[in-house]
Amino acid sequence: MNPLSKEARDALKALDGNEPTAADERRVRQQLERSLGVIIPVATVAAATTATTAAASTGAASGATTAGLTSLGLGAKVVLFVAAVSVGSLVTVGAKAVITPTSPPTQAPVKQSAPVVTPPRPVAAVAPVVAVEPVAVVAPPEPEPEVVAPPPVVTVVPVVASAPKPSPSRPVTRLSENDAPAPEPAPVVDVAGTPDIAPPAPKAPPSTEEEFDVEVEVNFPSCDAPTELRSALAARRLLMEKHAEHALWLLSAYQKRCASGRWSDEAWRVRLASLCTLGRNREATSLLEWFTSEYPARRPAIEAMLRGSCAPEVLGE
Amino acid sequence: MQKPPDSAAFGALYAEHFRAVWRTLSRLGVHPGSIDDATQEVFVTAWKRFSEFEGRSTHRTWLLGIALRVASDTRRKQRPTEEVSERLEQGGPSPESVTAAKQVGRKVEALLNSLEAERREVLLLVDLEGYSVPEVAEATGTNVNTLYTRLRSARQQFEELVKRDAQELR
Repeated sequence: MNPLSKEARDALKALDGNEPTAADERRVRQQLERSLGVIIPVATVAAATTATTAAASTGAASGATTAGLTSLGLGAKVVLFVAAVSVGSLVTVGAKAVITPTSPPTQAPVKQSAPVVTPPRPVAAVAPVVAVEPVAVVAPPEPEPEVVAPPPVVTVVPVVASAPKPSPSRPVTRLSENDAPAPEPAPVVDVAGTPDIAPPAPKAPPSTEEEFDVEVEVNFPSCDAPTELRSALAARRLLMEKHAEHALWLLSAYQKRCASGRWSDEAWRVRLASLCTLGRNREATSLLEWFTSEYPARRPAIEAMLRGSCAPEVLGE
Repeated sequence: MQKPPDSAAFGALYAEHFRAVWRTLSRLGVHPGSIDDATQEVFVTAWKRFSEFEGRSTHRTWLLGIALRVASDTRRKQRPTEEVSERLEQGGPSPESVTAAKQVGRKVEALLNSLEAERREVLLLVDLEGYSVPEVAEATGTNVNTLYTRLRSARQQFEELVKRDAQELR
């Protein structure tokens, strides 16, 4: 096939000015963090390349990564590097912690399965991070702990789940390297006893259908996709806490408020799993049938997620 | 029960692919006012499906597939008039203040917009964003040969348009 002529290529290059800035990157990251309720560690592009490559289960990712970077012009690479370095000071150095700078480049990063946790630090000012399950957050780099031998160890701290509170004026606070205490040896401590973030003051959870209507009004007021996902994740947490009926009430309350007719797979999964947990197999079966007729392509994914929650007959097995 | 993704790995994914996702959405007709939301939607979807990613494709191709669907959804929701006016406003307050480079950029955009959507898409992804045809095929679920044919037609047509308007593009 003939490639484009020089004139045509030059014409296409005229579109190259439409590049996102570091501020764009930061803004979208913050929005994303609010939507997902987790802190997304900043990683430099170089570290990100290695980390995502390591995360992929085939070696194909490295080729694509290389292709992605080589497709950038020199100017773009410089901008990327500068942006990454400037943003890097704000947040924990996620992937950089996964791959130590002192490691040889060919050495694969090693992530310790039993996390070594930094000593408890006073972090009361940190806004609660919403998470349904404990989410690994990479803490600021600490001096080498006595018990850790090279290769490096990722420092992992569980984040305490708390009630979702969407508040654009109250962004998720990150732990930056500047916030880190003076270097001191990091002993190995029990993971369970060291929450990174102080839990919010306990309040009575909603326990009636009406109270869930109010819960949705207060905590999930928007009808956009991220809010819908957050509500589904909150319902999932209720399900995990053995409150399947409450999970259904929360989903229904959100559905009443935002009758878009478009639910995320997570919402579908939680609804179906809740019905199964409550033994309402007939409802689950008919709902799954309806789902299959509407979204045949999404059935396998949902079905896979429901194994273990629903009886085989519900899944048509 | 699906485990949430490792946030460090996801952060790395975001750092590596944010720009490509943003640019791709922009190239594919998502107007500036919706780019933030659309980019966010791509990564929210990626977060949700991160544990399902089995490495059969690359992250880059996987994200491209998500971005293409999000771009398509977003374009459907955009009102054409809104899109045009916002695009024009983006360049500056008056035509006089628009730089020559931007004028050329707009002209090229106009030329591309005269191509059929599917041709424009493959031309932009391959010749501007640097994706390979097999990558685009994988992301879109389109036959590779179909895409090669589509790319050939798109290039021919774009070449003709560039030749026709060569004076204005200088």
